[in-house]
Amino acid sequence: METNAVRYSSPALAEKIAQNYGSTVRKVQVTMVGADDVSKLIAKVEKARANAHTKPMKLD
Amino acid sequence: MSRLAPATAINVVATDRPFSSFAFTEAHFAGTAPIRRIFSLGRGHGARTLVIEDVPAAVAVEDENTELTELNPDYRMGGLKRISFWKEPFSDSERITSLGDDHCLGYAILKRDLIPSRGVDRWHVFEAVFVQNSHEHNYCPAGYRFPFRAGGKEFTVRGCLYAQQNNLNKACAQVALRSLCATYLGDADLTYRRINDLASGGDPNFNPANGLDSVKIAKVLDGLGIPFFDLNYLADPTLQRDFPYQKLVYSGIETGCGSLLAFKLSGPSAPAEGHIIPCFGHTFNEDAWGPHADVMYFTVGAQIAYVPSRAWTSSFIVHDDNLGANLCIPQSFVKDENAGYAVELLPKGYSYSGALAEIVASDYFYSLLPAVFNTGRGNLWVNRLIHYVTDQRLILRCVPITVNGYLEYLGKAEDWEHEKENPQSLEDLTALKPEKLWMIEVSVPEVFSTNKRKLGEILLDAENPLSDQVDGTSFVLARFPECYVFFDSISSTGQPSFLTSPSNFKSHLPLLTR
Repeated sequence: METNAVRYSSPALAEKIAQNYGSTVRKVQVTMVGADDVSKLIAKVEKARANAHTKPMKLD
Repeated sequence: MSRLAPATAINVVATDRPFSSFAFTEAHFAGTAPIRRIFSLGRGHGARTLVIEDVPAAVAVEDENTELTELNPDYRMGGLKRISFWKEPFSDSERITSLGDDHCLGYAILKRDLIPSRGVDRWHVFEAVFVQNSHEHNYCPAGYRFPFRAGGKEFTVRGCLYAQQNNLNKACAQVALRSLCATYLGDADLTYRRINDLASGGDPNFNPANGLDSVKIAKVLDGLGIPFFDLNYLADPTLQRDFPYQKLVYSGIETGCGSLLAFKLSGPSAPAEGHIIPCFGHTFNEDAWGPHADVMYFTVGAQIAYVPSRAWTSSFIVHDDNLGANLCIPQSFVKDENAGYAVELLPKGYSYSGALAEIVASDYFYSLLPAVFNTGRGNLWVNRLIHYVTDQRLILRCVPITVNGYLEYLGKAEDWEHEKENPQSLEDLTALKPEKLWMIEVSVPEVFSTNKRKLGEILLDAENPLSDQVDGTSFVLARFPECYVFFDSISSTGQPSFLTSPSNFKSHLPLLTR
């Protein structure tokens, strides 16, 4: 499940930078090698944070 | 504030031999460990003179006295001393006006609490600020330049405020919070009453002498408007395996905001309650063994392993209110099973942990680099970078930065061959959004530790909450030798595409420093 997706697509900016060198942009499709593992870890951390109050640590 | 109040009496004491800090603190302040540590810091920094002043209770001290009187009707303050430590030898208080901030090593406010009905008569360090230790391996990003008065003149000293508990209206949790929050906010007038009011939430049974729990600590940070990221390892002990407390503590230190670390004490007489300390600096040992010996890897699943920059850290620099200020604690000294709760303070406007940003960026590095440089690897540094991708030995370091800060950095930077970036590209990059970013720097062994330089970085949006997907979300920009990478689009199957443009930088650039 995707949550809070904010993406910053910048084709015009990429093109401007390329033009500074008399060049053009190159498009590359990427397979994210660790996406599932990273997503699981983020989800686990967020779940732990949501449940943190169930066992507060006492400090004095 | 008593830091700045005019003194009612002043005494100048030379600390050259045969002056004994032990004898002095025993004679005047009952010689507790934190007070001895203050004098030890002065001695260690080469203090030649003490200026000892009687000062009135004001602001935070005065407020504490009111709170203590409410809790203990026969409370009274038995003394309040402001002690400053100076490099210069002098014996006449008139000389103070000719001194500057550079002559000062630190100051301390020592307070004596008296409650006859409870047999309480003790001195403690209400607050102290000392310059960081001069060891070349010490870095203390989390600090603030606190003003104080000596004689008739105001001075400032940069450090992380130290405070000691008194077991009356403040325990380790309150003093750790005041230490870090006063430093973060640049507000030494932050009172214990404010901390306790935020923690209690109006609970009439709340007793500040009993300390706080982790939920109350979060309430205080929320109430002070300080963004933070916390993990409770007691509630989920498996977190330590996937997200060790050291990662979170280090991230808070690197941002310059600081961290809190709570741990259980061990041994047969260990109390049920834990102890918490503020962490504000770290050592950086460029000849560290760990990163070379493959024992400092951080792994995410089967595909990602990298060396975090904290692998070169031997110790965190902390205060322990029971023991004293500016102490080094080995980063793994607190055993995993004893780590209970850790808090990473975040810069204003940041919505998630730098440690999480580093993990997300690791996937971008290991996915982008082989794809972007799958052909035409003419650049030697790119070839070396790809080699370390294959070996899963990339070194990552996460720091906060703004777009303006990034462009200022790029504008000043030179690669190893003294090449600078195209000025028009720098102008064009001012269109980058959002303003607040996590910058995850990537480097390789030796270039990182010896030269303190890097081969590129990824910028992630730090303002919006982190998505649990890694598909171009949060990605703002990447830069590698001769190459910028921009996000383009995502396919219907969820595969992201990126666009590459040239950069004038052909080799490594300096790491970001403050």
